[in-house]
Amino acid sequence: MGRASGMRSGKHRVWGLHLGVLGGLGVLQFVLPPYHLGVVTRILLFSTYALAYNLLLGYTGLLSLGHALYFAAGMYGAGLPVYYLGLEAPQAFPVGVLGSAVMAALVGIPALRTTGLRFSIVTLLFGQTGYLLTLYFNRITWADQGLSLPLQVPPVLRYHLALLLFGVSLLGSLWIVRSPFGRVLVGLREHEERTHLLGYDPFLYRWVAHVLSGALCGAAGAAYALLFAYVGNAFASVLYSVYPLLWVLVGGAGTALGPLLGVALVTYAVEVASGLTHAYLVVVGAALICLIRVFPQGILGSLRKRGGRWLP
Amino acid sequence: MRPLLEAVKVRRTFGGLVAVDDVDFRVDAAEIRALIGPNGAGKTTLANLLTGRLRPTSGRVYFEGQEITFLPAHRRVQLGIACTLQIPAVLRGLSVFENVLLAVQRAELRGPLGFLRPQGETLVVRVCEVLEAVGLLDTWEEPAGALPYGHQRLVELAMALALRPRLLVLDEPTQGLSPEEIARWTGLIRRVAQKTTVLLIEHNLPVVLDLAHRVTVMDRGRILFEGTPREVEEEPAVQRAYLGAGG
Repeated sequence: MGRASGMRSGKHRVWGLHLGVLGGLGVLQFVLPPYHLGVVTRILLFSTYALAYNLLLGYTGLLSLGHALYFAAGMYGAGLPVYYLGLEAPQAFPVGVLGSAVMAALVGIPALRTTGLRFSIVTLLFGQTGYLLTLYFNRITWADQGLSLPLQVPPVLRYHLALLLFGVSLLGSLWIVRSPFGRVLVGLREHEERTHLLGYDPFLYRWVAHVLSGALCGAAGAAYALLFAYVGNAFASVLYSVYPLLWVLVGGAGTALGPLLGVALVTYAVEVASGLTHAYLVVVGAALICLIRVFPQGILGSLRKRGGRWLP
Repeated sequence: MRPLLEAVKVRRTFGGLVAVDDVDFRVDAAEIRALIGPNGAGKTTLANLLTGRLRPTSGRVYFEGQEITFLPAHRRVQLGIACTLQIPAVLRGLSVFENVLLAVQRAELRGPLGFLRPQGETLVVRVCEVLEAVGLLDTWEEPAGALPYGHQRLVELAMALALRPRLLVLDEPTQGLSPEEIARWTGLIRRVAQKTTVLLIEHNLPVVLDLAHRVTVMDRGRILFEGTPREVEEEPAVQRAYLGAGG
């Protein structure tokens, strides 16, 4: 059937584009000076975080303000066993992922009884609770000053591992959102009642998306702790719940590559502006406002609207 | 014969208002049943109690002998009750194709694993089948929200049909349509009814008299009369409550 083959070629284009981006990132390590290699490593980890956030905001239509909880859960879940139990990094990583997945599963049960603005507020409260808990258990977490882990990862290996995590997450989330399951999430975003009346349980699908998102956040947090050998509760603060929102909105909510683009732009905007002035956040803020005026749906979201409808 | 759907003394109140007042209602398999009545008679509320969008204050609902009174709407869909809404509900930002695909995969895929595999050709073929049946195949690529009102109703019908329902509940499907569109709908419903039981909530009396095997007339939360279209036309109580009052 002509239609089916038309959709096939779109499919090749999509996978080609994403594999191309990953390939480009792979080449980047040979060109970048050491300092920027470190910056891009961070960008890749935060992009993984943003991908996880985008799964919820962009595809399921849920705006969480507490996702730092899951990033930090992954971070502490992987970091504390290394520090106290002497676990090796490869074993600590799944502990962090599992920790944040369990956290997301539990928080999701009460939080997903709400949607819209209420969901944002409930998640904000859970996020803040998590932040305060890191302080409450200060004797264990050393939250106020941060924990250095006894790990040493060479920068190039660090880059490789971050790229591996990002690559797997990008292709994995692309696969999820293009699967029948992902289509239900988009259905819930577009029209909850219609999707419900097509036989899908809104709570169940949102909950699964929430757990997947939480686990992926945790993976990013755990990787950050293990690769940079540092655990600190700044990553549990509300700032790190707002960052993913900012990244995803800049790059384009509900686009597959938007999170990467958003993180890269915001990170380098901060880099450049902080070299110019101490009031760099003002400059960054002004730049972001201009950007959103030109691209109201994020950069990739607006590009898709202007002619690239095949963009996932 | 066991009815396909049976409501026993269902009642639904909103604050002090009794929208559906201890109604007994049954629909037999393979019929086209119309539910008519003046505005505020409780038709849509009764339909919502059957599809699960609302829970009754008291009373019970059975589908094929199984009690479904407290089943959520999505479980009822899986049992075979599909519906279209008074105000057409489509996923406006998605293409017509994707709208119908979301419904098709519900009926055709089984188990959590089925939902993680990418779509197969069978789903695409089935979407095309359904779109062909309602005459929307040519607009498959367009965003559903950009279609004219009448076509959005057809998209909704296509989604409902894709679920392969045993019972199809249509809430005022011809509201806001042109005479040509209404004629097209009448033909469509007749064709659909060869395989599916249809419960039709309708204001347009000629459509009802033309299509329905039996007609139920509601007024002020109660069932006033039930009979063939001919009996309904001749019943004085119906004329007073509905036709005379100018519905």
